[in-house]
Amino acid sequence: MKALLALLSCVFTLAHAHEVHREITVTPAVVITLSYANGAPFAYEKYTLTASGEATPRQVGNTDAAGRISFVPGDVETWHLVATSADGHGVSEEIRVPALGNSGATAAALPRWLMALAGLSLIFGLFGLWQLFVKGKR
Amino acid sequence: MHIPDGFLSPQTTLPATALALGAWSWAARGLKARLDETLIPRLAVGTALAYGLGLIMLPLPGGSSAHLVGVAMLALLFGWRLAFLAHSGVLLLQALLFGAGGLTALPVNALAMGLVGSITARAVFRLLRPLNEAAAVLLAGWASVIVPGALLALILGLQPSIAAKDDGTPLFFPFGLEITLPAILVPHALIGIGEAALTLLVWRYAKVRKWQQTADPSPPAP
Repeated sequence: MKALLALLSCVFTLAHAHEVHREITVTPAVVITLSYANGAPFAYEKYTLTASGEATPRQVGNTDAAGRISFVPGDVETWHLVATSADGHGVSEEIRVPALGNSGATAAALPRWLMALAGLSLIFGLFGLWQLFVKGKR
Repeated sequence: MHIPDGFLSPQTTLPATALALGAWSWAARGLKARLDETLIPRLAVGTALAYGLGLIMLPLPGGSSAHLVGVAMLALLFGWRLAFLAHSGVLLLQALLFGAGGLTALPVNALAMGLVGSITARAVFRLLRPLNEAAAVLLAGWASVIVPGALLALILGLQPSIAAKDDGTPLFFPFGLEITLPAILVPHALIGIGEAALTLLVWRYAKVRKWQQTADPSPPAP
């Protein structure tokens, strides 16, 4: 009888080792949304998320259909995010977790058309100066 | 096609920076003698067009996006040395203003797109021009996208072999050549068609206005 109980106990212990427990909690999480320049989501692409100062990523996976990565930062403020697509698009940058409720968007603060205009102004301005320089020399 | 910061190992970026510095200084040699008052405004317009083309995102199958480059147009009109310099400036602006391509990756992007792209365009054009000028321009435009694309795919795809942890985990870009080559070449083969059409359009416009003298890489006659 004792031997049978010992055997049963052993079987239950082994069975227990294969269980996966599930716990659902609602907790503040950070959501990073990645998108292409045309606004299309950076969807289903590989990423790694590493806490500052650590070598092993805390999270690896693929962005979701909307190009999102969600994680629970805990008390770590700075993270290194690497997200890559096979054709060479992606980001590799430090992310500082913003205070709750604040957005940490990294997209240009100015509208895209204004940035484009600034670039054109720089090109024509620099070439204009060059033209004046060449004209002055002759 | 722009490689962002953090995707390339220092073993790649450091030699590329040295190479690019040499290439930029060589391309700029004798610049004063090559530029005159008529060439500068044309080069300004060409550079602005290449910059503007880089901002128009064309959607690709799979959710990604791409844009035209404009380097073949610059190379055929102004020679590959000026095209390389002008396109490097475009890449710098795109990196600084839009984060399109990284600053540490700028030498690699400039060497591939600006230098290899413009040399490819000039070489294909010179080779095929005696047969058919329009076809030469079209193929020069297409090749100026596909050859740099192949080079960038090689550079990216070699990163896991160049820089990896002891356990084989890539330190920088994670995909190998078997993934990067088709992922970059297939869409760029399509973009190349648009690039070819644009190059022909600009080439014809320039030809009507007798800009051909600047197409020669040697100094224009005074």
